[in-house]
Amino acid sequence: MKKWTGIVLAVVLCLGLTACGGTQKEQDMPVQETNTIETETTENGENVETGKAPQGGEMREGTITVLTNVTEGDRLQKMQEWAEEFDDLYPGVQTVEFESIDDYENQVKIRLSSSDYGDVLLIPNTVEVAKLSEYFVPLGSYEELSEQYQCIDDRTYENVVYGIPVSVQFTGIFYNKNVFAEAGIEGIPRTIDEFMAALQKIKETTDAVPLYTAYADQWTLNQWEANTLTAAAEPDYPYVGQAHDRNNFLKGSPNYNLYRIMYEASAQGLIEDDPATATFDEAKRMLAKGEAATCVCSSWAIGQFQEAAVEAGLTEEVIGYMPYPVPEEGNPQIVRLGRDYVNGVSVHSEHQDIALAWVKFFAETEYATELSSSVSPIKGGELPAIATDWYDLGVEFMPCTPAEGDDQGLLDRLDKESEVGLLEPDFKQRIIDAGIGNRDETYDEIMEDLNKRWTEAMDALGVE
Amino acid sequence: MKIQRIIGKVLKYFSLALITLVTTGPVFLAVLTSLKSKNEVYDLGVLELPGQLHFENYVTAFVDGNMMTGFKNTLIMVIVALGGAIINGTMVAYVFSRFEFKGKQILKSLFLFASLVPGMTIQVMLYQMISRLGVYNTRMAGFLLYIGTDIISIYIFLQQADSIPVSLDESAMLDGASYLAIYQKIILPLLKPAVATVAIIKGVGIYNDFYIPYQYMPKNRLRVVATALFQFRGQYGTQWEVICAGVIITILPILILFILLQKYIYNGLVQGAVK
Amino acid sequence: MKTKKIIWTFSDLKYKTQRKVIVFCFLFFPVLLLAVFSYLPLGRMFFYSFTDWDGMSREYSPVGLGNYIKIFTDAEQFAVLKVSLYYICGTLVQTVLALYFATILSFKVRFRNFFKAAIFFPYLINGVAIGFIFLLFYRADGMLDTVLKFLGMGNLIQKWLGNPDVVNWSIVATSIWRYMGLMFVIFYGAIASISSEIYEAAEVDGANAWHKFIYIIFPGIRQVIFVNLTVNLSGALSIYEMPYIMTGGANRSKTFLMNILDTAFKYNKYGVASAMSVVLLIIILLTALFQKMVIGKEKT
Repeated sequence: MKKWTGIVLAVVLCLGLTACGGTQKEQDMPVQETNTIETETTENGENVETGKAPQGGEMREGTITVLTNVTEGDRLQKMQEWAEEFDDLYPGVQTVEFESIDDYENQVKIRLSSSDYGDVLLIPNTVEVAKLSEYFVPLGSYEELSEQYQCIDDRTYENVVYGIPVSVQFTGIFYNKNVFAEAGIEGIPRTIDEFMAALQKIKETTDAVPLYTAYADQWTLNQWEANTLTAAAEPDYPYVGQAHDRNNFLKGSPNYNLYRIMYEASAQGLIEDDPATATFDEAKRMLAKGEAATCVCSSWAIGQFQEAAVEAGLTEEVIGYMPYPVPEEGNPQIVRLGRDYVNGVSVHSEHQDIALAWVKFFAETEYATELSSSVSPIKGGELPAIATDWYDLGVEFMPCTPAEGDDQGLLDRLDKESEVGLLEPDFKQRIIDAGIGNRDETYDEIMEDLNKRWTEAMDALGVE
Repeated sequence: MKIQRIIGKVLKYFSLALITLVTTGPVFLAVLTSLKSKNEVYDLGVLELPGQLHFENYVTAFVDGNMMTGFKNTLIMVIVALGGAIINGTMVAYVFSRFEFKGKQILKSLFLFASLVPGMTIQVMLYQMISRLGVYNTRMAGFLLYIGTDIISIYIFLQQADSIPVSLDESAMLDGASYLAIYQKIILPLLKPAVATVAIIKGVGIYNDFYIPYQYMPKNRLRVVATALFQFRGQYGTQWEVICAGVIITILPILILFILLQKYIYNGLVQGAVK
Repeated sequence: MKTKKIIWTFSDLKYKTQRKVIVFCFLFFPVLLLAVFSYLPLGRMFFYSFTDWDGMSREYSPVGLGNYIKIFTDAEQFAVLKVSLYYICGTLVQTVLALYFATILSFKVRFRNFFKAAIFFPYLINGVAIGFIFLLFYRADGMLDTVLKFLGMGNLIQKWLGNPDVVNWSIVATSIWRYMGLMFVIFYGAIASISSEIYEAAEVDGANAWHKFIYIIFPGIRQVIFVNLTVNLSGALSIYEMPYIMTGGANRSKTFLMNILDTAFKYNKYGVASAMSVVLLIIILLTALFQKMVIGKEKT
């Protein structure tokens, strides 16, 4: 059900296929150009640093429209409460009107071709970083904003920041502790081989589906992509290395290792019986009840899985969360800290000052930690409790190195040109189809085909 | 002979019973699901009856889904857009069926050709138009699109208008009637069956259309019935039982209308679409 | 126009002038709407098909025939056209079913109105709702499986949406379920418009139901059947809604139109997608012309 792709795609970390700027070069680059917000925003920014929202007596009155991918009643209610809080901070100045949009990415992408896309919006991930200034107002310089916010790198171009994340995410594998105990799995599997052995053990000793893919929802498969950093163990790889790698999908490459689990589990009958009707709803419910053992998903889902456990009459404690396994024993286990969608301000907004104030205000709310059960975009945000033991496992959290200079946006261009779709479900569904025998292809053949398309795109774009 | 007849009869009723089961079965499934609790949706077999009937799903769907606003907006949409499409279509049909003028054939083929374009392929450009006209997020966007992209109706009217004898016009002209009067007093009344056809096909279409309201009128205040269902499908889960209740709620009015107007509907469809 | 004081009324004009005014006034808005919502977008689509537009940006550059060359050198683009064949088969099945029920309900049947309503009513249901309902219907241990088990035909159970050999049939069946009623009503109406004298005459000759169908009904409504069939056949080329809702195109249920939308929205290649749309439009146009020729022959 593609409608959901946009919404949760957001959450695929660091969507920064449109890799980012934020370099130390060009420090004298003037931040304020024609569309920039007036100087007072800098002051506001400083206020934010002290943890208080800006006091904007000078702001004109007005209503801003905020596009959001939050659609459900109770969560929207929460947003509404924050909007009221925001109003209280600036008495009589503005109101915030939400437009909740299902299938966010696609809907908003169409709207970008006009000037009707609200005042504040989550910047669609498909907008190339070099073209951000066409639609969005600069929010400040990288130096200034990076002191307060994390993971703003990949929505920065030529030292100018265009968006502030609504939350910071990381990705791992949800598991049911009871099923693991029943199968006699001790400790957290660290390597891919150990993980596969654990799945096999679960299949042999329990009734649970070892790995639930939730294939039918499509976006669920895209969640895997955030683990490229873990598979590569090299923070340069996801945005920089990958774009210059002529063996990007071949045996031994991070992508190959990353999706090996998906293929092997499908081929060995370790996934759900009928993937075509397997949804994320089912994943949550079955995992909570111990009918499924594991599921790959980003940290925003922590709250969701815990809630499902409570609904099933159990406690939150049933749900465990572990880091994605590494290819070889000796590899360091690095987990990517990446952004969710970022809030940006439209160049067509008539109330850019209010809009910016809202963006900064929103980053301070509990959206990130409560509604999204993840990490705050404000520097120094803490991990959710469920993952605090990851440090004991030797996990390192790290953002990916942003691309610089000519490489900015290159990965995205390659991805589109080759039609590989790193963040599209297509090749992942193909891998599972092949695994369960619905397609006459081996894993190596699929990956070779992707690699061929990738290198052809590199040639077409003249990439070394 | 007699045996043959009996077998024929058995087969006939058997096939009718079967098709009735097939057409109503899935809807029965929706009704059943709408009466279950969240857990029962998964824990019970699909055709198992819930322990107790959860009518509260209907309340949730109706209240939280803002169905009242939805019905109001849908009603406005259907009435205005349908009215517009009928006026628009009958005018074109009148001119095309009664007058000869330069470029008529070309114009006619332009209308025909446009009806062949799959709408999905031009959606981005349509969006640009709506936005440039400054009607984005207003009801006007819906009105314009439902009327402006509705070429099938024009064809239905045209077919019917062609079958109205020109001698009627001529005798009216002998009485001194103007062309405008002929349109109002002769053509429009005689187009009634086609109007019924268009009202049904188009009305059902607008009532059920999800795409245009969703894409061009996303404002919460402008929600229609078809988009209201989507509130229960969020990023964190789908409330099947509430969605099914919502589906039943949206089917009901149109079903009641259908049963009441059955006779007219068949006649309308028949007269309008058959010729 | 009752008041006598009016200096000028429309009917005072000469018919010739009236005609001009009417033609202009009556066509002005319809043609304007046609231009704005059909031809301007189409023109832009045609224009974009020669560019590398990404679907949002204000900047793009011309690429000449590049997009078209790309399409025609990529065999996979046309492979998805095969999926249309399922829908064409579906249309044939739908026509036969509609014709069968229209015929038997034209004769004396008990509860005729009930059956007519039952057959027609799926047409009244919203497409997205149908998508939801049929997901419940087809999923493992869903309604279909349960019914099959109950009938002792559990061995027929399939992964209705998961098996690439079955998935297209499942979606086509849903589509028939949705649209058969409309076709049925049209056929039923056509049969009803055949004069009853013909039947009476036939009955005098001792004709049975089958004879009536072959010698009276079928020839009587051949034209209607043919028109409906062809309209539905060309519709089969631009199918998109049902597979989109039910599988999103997984398991080789992707149609050509879905491919166009993916190219435009997943890969931001609006230029290429526009070129594909132009190609699709040409195919549809050729089909329509072909049908027109055949219908034309039928008539003469």
